[in-house]
Amino acid sequence: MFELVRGLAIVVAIFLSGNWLHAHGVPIPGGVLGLLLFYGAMLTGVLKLRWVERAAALLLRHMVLLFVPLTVGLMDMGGILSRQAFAILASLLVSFLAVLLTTGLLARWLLHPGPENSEGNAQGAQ
Amino acid sequence: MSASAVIAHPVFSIGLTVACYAGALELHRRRRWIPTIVVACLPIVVLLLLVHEPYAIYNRGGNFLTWWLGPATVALAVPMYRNGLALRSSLPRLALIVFIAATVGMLTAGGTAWLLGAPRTIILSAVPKSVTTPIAIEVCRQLGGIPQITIAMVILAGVLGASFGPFLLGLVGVRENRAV
Repeated sequence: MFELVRGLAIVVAIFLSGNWLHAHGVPIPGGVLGLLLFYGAMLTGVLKLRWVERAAALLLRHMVLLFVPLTVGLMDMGGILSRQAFAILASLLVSFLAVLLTTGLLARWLLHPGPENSEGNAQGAQ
Repeated sequence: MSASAVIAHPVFSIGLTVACYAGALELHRRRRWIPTIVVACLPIVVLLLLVHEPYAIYNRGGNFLTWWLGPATVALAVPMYRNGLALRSSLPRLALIVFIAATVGMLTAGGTAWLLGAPRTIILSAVPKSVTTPIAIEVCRQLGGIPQITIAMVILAGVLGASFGPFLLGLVGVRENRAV
């Protein structure tokens, strides 16, 4: 329990620092700034992975819960959604295909077509 | 206490959301194809419509959960740190691929919406949809889009990617696991 609270406190403090920097002129969203700060702090050893491991695992495992209120908010957008449904779906589909093909083909050309690598794990966490 | 006073209480809407999420998780465990996010939202929407309460009332508590997306974004550094160690040798090439793919994603998503005459807010909501959801939300807010629309697009893109991605990549002869 202590470990979890300590981890959450660290993560929240980093997020708030990111927000503060963003409010003072850094043109990157606070959360993303915090992500970079956190990554840097772990690479340089300022923060130890084990201090935050459990808190981070909790936040990431149940991230879907955090999306629920925004998704419920779609109920207020029936109007704009139905008026723009075609543009939204078309944009989604075109971009999906373009990204998939670009990534796939680039990966094939750049990551040497040699023996199949079966333990690749650079998952694009949705 | 009237129904609206109960629903307006943040503790109620947070509890309701957590309960619906827990139920959705359980359902997802038994039937893998059922998307958690959709099942978690439906009962909340139905309840709000039944008691004629606006979304804004529910969102007083909902906002609290949404706020935690910020710390969750920060927490993404942990898997990055872990995977970074494993992928270090191919890191420059991976970074190049991700950079190009992200650019293509933003240009095609925004460009298609623009060509079809969508209003500015829709275009701005479409642009960040290819990245991981919490970051997409933050970027969308900063650009001045509507986070709800971005989230709908990210969810649909995720479903599309998971269902058809490997198949389509197979069609063009890509067999690299890391591409997905």
